[in-house]
Amino acid sequence: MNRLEAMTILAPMLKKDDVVISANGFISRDLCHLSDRHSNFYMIGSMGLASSIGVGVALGNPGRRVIVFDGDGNILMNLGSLVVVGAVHPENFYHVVLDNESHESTGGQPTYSKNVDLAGIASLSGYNRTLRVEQQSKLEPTWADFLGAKGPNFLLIKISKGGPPSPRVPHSTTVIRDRFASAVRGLPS
Amino acid sequence: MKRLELFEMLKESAISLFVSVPDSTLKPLLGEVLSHGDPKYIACSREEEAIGIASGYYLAGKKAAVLMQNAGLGSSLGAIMSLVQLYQLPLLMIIGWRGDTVDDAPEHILMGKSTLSLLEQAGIKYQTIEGKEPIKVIRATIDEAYVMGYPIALVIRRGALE
Repeated sequence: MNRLEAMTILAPMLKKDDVVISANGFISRDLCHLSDRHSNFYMIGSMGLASSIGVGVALGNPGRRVIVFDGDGNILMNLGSLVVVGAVHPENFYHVVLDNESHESTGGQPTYSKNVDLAGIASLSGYNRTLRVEQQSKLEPTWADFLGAKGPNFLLIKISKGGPPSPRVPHSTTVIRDRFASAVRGLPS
Repeated sequence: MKRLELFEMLKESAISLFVSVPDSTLKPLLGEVLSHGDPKYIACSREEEAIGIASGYYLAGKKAAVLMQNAGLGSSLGAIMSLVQLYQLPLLMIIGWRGDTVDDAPEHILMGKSTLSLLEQAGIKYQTIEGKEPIKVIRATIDEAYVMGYPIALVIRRGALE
């Protein structure tokens, strides 16, 4: 299963009230292409910070389920955020890492994620439920398990490199900001 | 400036979360924050992380203050430019100004000399705090940043907080 195949399974399973933060690069592009929702925050810059933005949203609105779609390159830039998530322990925080052991958006250069157990680090940092999935057929049931307990939870999805990139996010950053803020705050958009 | 006065003003400005990598210049304010326990305090691993959390918190409709040392400003410029300024988000940064004079420890001198020009280069509005500024003026600066949607730095000189 490659990134786009994984995202094609995950995007339709998002519920209307789910708030989503997606990491920069192909992950945000896939999400926008497959399921462009007002409650998606496409983080097009600030690599590494999707998990931190997600923590802020989760604390700011504890009544909404916050899902972060992260990548291995992204989370390796901000491993300290795992420790903060474990300590602050937002129950509405759900952290997905799509791990292809590479920086695919910049041409597939390697990361060192294959040498470390990211789900294990999350677990030791204090996440509640941590799961790992590699087989495409297991993704849907694992997703149910992942969301089936109070957070903070962590889902590591091992994927292969490759698959076509989706088009760039077409919205301006202020449009992404305004419609996301309205959706998270429960205001009319 | 009295630490309690600043703390109370921040609370009145609806700051309901403090995110920080701490700094000795800000120790009086941090002490106030930690001893009250409300608003909540988060000990971040790095300053960019604090900026990310504060940005998400704002998107959810609430206000956080980032408390950090000017050393952290250098490592945060990417996050400020490619998140806060890119999305035109308001952000309050309260920055301890180490190396504001040459009598500070050597590791602070270069960043201390460069702090205000870095802020200017990045187009970040700032107000230096010597300690005698009326609290109302600082409050107005913060409120304006939230209305207009840009980051603001309060750069606190050593000894300004008591």
